[in-house]
Amino acid sequence: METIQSPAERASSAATGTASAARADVAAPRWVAPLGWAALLAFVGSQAFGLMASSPDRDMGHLQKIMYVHVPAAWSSMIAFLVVFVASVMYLVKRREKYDLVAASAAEAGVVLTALTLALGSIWGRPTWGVWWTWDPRLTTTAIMLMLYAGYLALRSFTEDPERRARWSAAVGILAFLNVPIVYMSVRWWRTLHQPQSSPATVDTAYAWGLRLNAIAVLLILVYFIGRRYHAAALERAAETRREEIALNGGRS
Amino acid sequence: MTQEWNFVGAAYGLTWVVLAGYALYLNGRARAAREALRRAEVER
Repeated sequence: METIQSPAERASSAATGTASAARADVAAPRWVAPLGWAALLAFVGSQAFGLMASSPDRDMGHLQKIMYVHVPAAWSSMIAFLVVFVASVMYLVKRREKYDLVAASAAEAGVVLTALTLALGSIWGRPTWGVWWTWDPRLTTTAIMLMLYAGYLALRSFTEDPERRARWSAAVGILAFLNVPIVYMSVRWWRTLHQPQSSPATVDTAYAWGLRLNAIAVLLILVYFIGRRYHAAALERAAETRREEIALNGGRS
Repeated sequence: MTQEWNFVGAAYGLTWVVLAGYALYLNGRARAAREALRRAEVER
């Protein structure tokens, strides 16, 4: 398992040239690869179940099957942003670099899933509503959420100093989360075109299991993405630290 | 009926492309970072 230093430890170890934690083995967590395969199997199985086991909806026909990918992607993106929020708070409290990396990893996965959610909603909206896009409150707040977290990632890429990057990102990660409950509640607060939240409790029982299984599969994929992205970030940070050591010590370890 | 399946196929196809594409990107990024770490180790 990798060891990640706090900014203070990092500065101290780089200055003294010890950098014991930076030399720690940066191996992929053992659970990531098996989880990836489990997520893939779950995804294939749940999609097959959803496509084959559910009969066409009375109003939407087979378009109902898009719910099995659209809704789980939306849920998982919100869970990803909750992880960003919690990890950002933890970073500001504990000042451990690992929380910053977890937040960044979850934000990136969340952005991918939000973009997918919007695209899938658009594909469903064209034959159902007659338009690819409309400024419905749910769609608009989701688009704002995507922009906020894309901005979070842009901020990270523009800030070179790791400690400043982590601090600013944590602040943005906390503030951006204010929009997430608004996205969730938008269909209740402003009843416009988008229907209320779908869940196994609100959809027809014929579709509940398809939705449950697909939601679990996409959640597994999200955890895999965060784990894999975290590992890549930890490797990048370790390489960066070693380059700093070389620069500070003139090549002596 | 056929048109409905076209939209369903597009949605599922897009999902696979995005998720598989991101998984490949993450693996490539981890591989590149591992290589950068190895090079830094050699320099030292």
